[in-house]
Amino acid sequence: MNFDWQAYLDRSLGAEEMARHEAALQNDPAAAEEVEALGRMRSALREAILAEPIPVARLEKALRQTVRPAIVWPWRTAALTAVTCAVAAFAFVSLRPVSSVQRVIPDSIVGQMMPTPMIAQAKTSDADAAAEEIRREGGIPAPTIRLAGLGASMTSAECGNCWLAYDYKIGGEIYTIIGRKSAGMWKGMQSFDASGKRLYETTDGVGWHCKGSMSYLVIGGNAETRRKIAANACHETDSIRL
Amino acid sequence: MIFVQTWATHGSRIAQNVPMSRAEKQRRFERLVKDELSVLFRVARRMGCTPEEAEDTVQTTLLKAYRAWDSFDGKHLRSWLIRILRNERLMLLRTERDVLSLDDSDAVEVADAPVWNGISQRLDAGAVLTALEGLPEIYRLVIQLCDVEDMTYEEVADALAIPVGTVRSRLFRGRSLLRDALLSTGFDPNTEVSR
Repeated sequence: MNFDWQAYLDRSLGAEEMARHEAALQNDPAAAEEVEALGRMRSALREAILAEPIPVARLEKALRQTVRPAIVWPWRTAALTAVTCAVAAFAFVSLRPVSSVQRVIPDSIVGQMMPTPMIAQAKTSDADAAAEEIRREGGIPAPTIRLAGLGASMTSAECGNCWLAYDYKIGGEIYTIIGRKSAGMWKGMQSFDASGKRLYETTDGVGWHCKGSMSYLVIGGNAETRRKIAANACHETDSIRL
Repeated sequence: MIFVQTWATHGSRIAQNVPMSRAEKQRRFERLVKDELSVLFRVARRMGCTPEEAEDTVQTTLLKAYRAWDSFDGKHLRSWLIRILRNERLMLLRTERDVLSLDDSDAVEVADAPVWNGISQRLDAGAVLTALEGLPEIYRLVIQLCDVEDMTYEEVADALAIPVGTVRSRLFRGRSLLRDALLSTGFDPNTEVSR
């Protein structure tokens, strides 16, 4: 009569067969020893294999990532990109160094009003802070010119050894106020009074003197706005003396 | 008991074609499969994977199992996962070498003569593991699933996609080879082996 001791140990026999094998074990010491030896081998095998290290934490993490992958929503990406662009644009506009690209200055003006190289640039568009920075970095008496009431926003400021230049945007047009340590520059020019100040109309702009300080010239944009700027700025430049 | 109930619930819901919400599917899959991670890793190791390869293979298996979760019939989760794992491993192996060709005879061989009583009273666990590693993969796997993971012949047959008779045949041959390997390494039937 055949006995399948492995199947018996594996409990894969039917109830009747299990009973027959158990009965046989009682009367067959060799079979009993066989089953016992097989059991020992299984125990040793289990012990050895179950002792192997298993990266449980990493496997569980992999499981979590499988069912809950990190989702990057498109709108979040778009929003993040938009914010990044906005910040970059703000930083560019606010902190960019003075650029003369937008400024169209005739060579005659550059030679006359800005004869020396630029030595300092303001890193802010705030009129007060820009003037302060030009005074500090350039060492010249730079006034604060806000052009209040004209809807102006300063776009850049720079200076050389004896000159300064402020750029403003008014009504979509760029205007530049250039100042130079000089007196009597506008002799012979057509003059007119505005707001109690004597202004001088040139072919390129509108100028004025600050007694004991600097001569200024507004260029760019249209003539009417240049006059308004000069009439407004001439009082602000008076606050600075050499 | 909770495990069994949950498992049964999953099967019945699939049988009734009741759709599960995404969150419900995630929770159920994670809860049930979590208990099988160690088994999958050990089986991957027995398939010849290094620890790193075993980890990767298990990870891929999880991904494929999750995608196919809706098609799982709710029976023999462990077998189902091992089948996916094995297919994944075989697919990788096919690109490197031919799968071992061995006799897969369904004939059940019954041990007439004593097989194991030549082995010493105390077996060295490390030596047993070394001997197991030396066996062909198809025997290693069956021994691992039956003797270590406590799976029934039917579950092993389901996992390896082979008939139950083949499971019994491979188990017998594998154990015989294991015994021979142990004896050839110097196990003295009359003396104990220190660990």
